[in-house]
Amino acid sequence: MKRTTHAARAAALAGAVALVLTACSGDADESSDDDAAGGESDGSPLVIGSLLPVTGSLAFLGPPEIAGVDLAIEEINEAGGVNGGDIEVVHGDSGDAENLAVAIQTVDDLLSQSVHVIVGAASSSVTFGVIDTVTEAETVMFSPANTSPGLSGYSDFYFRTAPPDSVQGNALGNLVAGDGHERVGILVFNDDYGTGLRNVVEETLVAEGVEVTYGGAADNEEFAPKQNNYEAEVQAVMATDPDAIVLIAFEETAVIVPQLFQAGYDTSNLYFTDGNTANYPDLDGGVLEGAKGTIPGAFPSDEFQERLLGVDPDLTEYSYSAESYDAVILSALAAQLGGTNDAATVQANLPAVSGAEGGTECTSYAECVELIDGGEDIMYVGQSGVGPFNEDNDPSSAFIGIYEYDAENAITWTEAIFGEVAG
Amino acid sequence: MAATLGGLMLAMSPAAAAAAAEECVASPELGCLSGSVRGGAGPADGVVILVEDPEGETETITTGDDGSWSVEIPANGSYTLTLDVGTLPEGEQLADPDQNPRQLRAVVGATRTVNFELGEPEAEAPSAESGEGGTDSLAGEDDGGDVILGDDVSTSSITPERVAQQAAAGLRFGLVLALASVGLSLIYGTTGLSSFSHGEQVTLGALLTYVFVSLMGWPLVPAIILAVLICAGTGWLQDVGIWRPLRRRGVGLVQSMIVTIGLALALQYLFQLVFGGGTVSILSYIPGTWTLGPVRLNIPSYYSMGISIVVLLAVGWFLLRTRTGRATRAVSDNPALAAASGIDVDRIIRLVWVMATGLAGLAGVLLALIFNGANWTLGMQMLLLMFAAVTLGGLGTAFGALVGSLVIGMVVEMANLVIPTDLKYAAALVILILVLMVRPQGILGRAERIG
Repeated sequence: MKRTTHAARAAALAGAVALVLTACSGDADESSDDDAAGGESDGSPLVIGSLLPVTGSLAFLGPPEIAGVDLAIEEINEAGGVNGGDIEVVHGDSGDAENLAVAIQTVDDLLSQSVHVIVGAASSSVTFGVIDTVTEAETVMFSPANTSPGLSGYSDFYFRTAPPDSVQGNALGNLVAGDGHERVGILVFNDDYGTGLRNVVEETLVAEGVEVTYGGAADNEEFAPKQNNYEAEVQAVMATDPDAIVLIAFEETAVIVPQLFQAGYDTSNLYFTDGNTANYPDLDGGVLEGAKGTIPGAFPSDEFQERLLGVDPDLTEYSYSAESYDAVILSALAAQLGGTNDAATVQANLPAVSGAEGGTECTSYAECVELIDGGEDIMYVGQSGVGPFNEDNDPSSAFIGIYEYDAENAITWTEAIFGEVAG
Repeated sequence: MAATLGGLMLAMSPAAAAAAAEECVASPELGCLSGSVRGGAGPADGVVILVEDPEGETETITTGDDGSWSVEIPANGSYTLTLDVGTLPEGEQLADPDQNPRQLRAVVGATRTVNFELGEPEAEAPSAESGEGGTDSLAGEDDGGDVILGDDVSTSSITPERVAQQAAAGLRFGLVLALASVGLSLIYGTTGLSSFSHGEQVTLGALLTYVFVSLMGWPLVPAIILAVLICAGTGWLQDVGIWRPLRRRGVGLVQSMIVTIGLALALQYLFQLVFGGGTVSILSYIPGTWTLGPVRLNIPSYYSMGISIVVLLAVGWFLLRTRTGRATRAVSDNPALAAASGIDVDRIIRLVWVMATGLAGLAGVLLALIFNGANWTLGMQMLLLMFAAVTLGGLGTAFGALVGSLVIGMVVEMANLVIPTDLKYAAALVILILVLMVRPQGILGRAERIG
């Protein structure tokens, strides 16, 4: 049923896009029947659309991501554009998963403006909501922030510069084991994100010889999300006498942490994931001090932060800015390598420019274009530090940031961990 | 820059490099490989690890007292780690000899963790090969040494202390649940209406207190009193604005029930709109705890239990001893007869609505204090439990609601001692079904009916 709706919508869209394109081509002098995926080698520019959160619960992630896109556009055009023409950008709002209509509307808009690459969305749930429409229109969808394992290899037209959760789970497991904990309880909510991440964390811990005392995959000890009362779960995990607890949850964290604290648990031995590694100003000072969390992605270097501030002087957060920047640079390089500005070319050449087949490392658009013009294979090593795409169009390796809580229950970046994507 | 650093590093003597490596911290120009060597007997110090970089240069690292080691990575590439097994402490061996030497990629700007685990080489396998009793029992003893609680955590972690603790939590939850259920039961008793919007009255109490205390900075006690009064006021308004007109027009109970469902949904999403989807907490700090024997609960829990008991006793006294209370029972027994004998039925019903919504608001405040937070779904989650409690105790009997609430509270809090934790609410409802099969009228179905 759902499939039919999507198919119908995609068909309608494809029709609309074709109409719009025909209208455009009619005005232009030479091109005849281009469709959305067809080659437009007549010097028309590469158009990037952004599907990033301007409103909704993830709106705080929007400004750094948009700044990353804008900075990349600026630098590409300074370096002479793509295939001789300036790259263009159309910004759109993705909203959040609770208001999926916003993203659907934006995608319709972007596709009607015949963008070749859509950078977004930030939330995996939003991506799941629109990815069929985008990829059936044979437009590249390139997310800077999706970490859901379910998106691995979802479509030939889907790429991401954020690593799937398996990398984060591995890094988190190693972090906990490396801190010398030997008995670890996992409090995880019964949700795809939670259990998927839990499985990787547990595997890593067990491989390091750490005992998982609670919440393992075989234990059936996941809790129901969005409760207010976690007394029973807290008592159960405490009864297994863990010396560290990995808490994988979203909003529930704000309720569980005080309940753990009141049950007498040393909350400085808590470990969070990107779902809940955030500032908790409402908690008592020092409650989380020493607790740690992981967020995928490299912490942008000072120099890159400066460049971002040049685009948007009001930035205070930098999450996923490097990943957004790299998504645009990689797309432009793929078009440059293929020699035409269209989605199919970008899709076909993205693995190559990311270095999937090896090549000379280059770190900026101008440098990489020079190598391409010289006929060399390239490997773009960007700001986010992710490795070449694998067969699933996932980055084959990535950085995971480790954050630690200070006395104000705010996170500070401490270090980056390097991890490879399994399989 | 990176190249210079790399050159410097390689030029250093192994000992100096090892010393420097103790503090390897990844920076934009430098990466780290780090990890530890440890096993059941603790960390192993003085273990030598050879690190071969992509150019074939080898660096020698020795683990420190805590078994940890780290080495600086000046350039991206593939590194080979070889642990010199001859330097392991006596009697120790690598748990996975296939992982030595280990080849892996490391990059500038990040730390990569590589741990070497010591122990029986087939430590993972013995359970599969039960024939090899010798290794098996050895491994088991090793585990037993570190682990106080044996292997099967889900059964052996049930201690008397934990049972007492969770029973106390169940009593606490049951008493507060009773505050809300008694109101639901009174409404059902006097009007025959199952009010699905009762859960939102609970949420309202919690959120109003949040507004007064956290946003407006009032002291807790006046805030609670005002919030409960406002909740009671909404009961009065509802009766004037909705329920009395509906009764006047002779709208059936089923239709009225649908109205309460609509009201519940409208209120839920109104709360979400105003307060957002997140959890809000009334107090700006985490309250302390008191320990009584094996039981450790936060201080609001003790107050909440006290308040619940006092209020429930007051409600009981009102119903049994006061003139209005007796009138209330008369109305639920037979409204027509009650009206004929001079009781103002509408006035009684309005009083019941005011009481019920006030009690629900109080329950909401107490729950939010006990659990350190409330969100827009607080009442929705409670609603089924309230219905279960009311039905379990005996429909329409106030004391039945109390008994039913205590049972439901206990079951919810103690269920995870025996079944998976996310089935705890389901367990409460299974108990409901079982009890009703044996006693269709509920536990106190015959005792003290409200009328």
